Amino acid sequence: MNGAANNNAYLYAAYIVVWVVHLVYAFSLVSRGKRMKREARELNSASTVPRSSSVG
Amino acid sequence: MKTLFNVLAVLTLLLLGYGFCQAMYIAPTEATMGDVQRIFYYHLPSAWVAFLLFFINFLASVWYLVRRTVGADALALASAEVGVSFCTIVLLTGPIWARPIWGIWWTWDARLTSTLVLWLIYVSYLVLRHYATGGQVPVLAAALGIFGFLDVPIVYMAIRWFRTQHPQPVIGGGQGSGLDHTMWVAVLWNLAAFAMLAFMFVCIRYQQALTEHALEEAHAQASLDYETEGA
Repeated sequence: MNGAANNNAYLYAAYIVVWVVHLVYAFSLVSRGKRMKREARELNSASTVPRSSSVG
Repeated sequence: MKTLFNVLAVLTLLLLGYGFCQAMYIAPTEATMGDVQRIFYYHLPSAWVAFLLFFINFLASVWYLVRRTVGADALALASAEVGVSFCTIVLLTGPIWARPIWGIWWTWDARLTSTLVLWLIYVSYLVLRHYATGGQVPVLAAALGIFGFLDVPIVYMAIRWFRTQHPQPVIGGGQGSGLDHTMWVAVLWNLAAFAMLAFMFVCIRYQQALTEHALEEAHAQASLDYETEGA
């Protein structure tokens, strides 16, 4: 009984690991998406600012 | 397009939920190993999905070398990245399953070692994509993707060619091998769920890779315009 309970800990650990890996990857996709949106916004605003003012 | 994506996301979550129920509650308890064998329902589908993604990477790499299209390069990158995450799961769940059954976390047998080598090949592919600069990077990455894929059949056949600590194949392993019907059902549901999840991840990453490429071009164009104006 004790052995089976110990083995269940391995089962839960494995399932937790699977979901942690998927969630970490999903969050990395979301953060990369946000970074790229910000970059695109910055690029757009830089291209609309007249050069003399951007140089200072 | 966004509606379709949302529908797919909901469908994927439902599949993942049902796959979890199949694995944890519906599939019968294995006679020798007990409940810890249920790791199998995540371990095996993850491995198959990783192999499939590396195969897509292989095809996209070949396509890139033939046609040099941005789309093929983006697909190769997306499939390699998602494939590495699934292969990571295989390499983590394997030892967690091995510890209570074999009494050890790891052994350098042919199946485990070739899987680790496979993971290292595709991690090096991603490192190359991330850190190397210059126009030849996609070509080098495509070559690495093509040769790297040679390890996939070796991983698959390792338990047939060599005597390994890893169990002999339960699927396609000849006489005496095989799975109970209800176990098969659990495997297939989780395979469908993980394949859908991988598909979603690849679609998102593919789109991001295309955007990255467009941003790089826009940056290059902007700096060119800036220099031209200054001249």
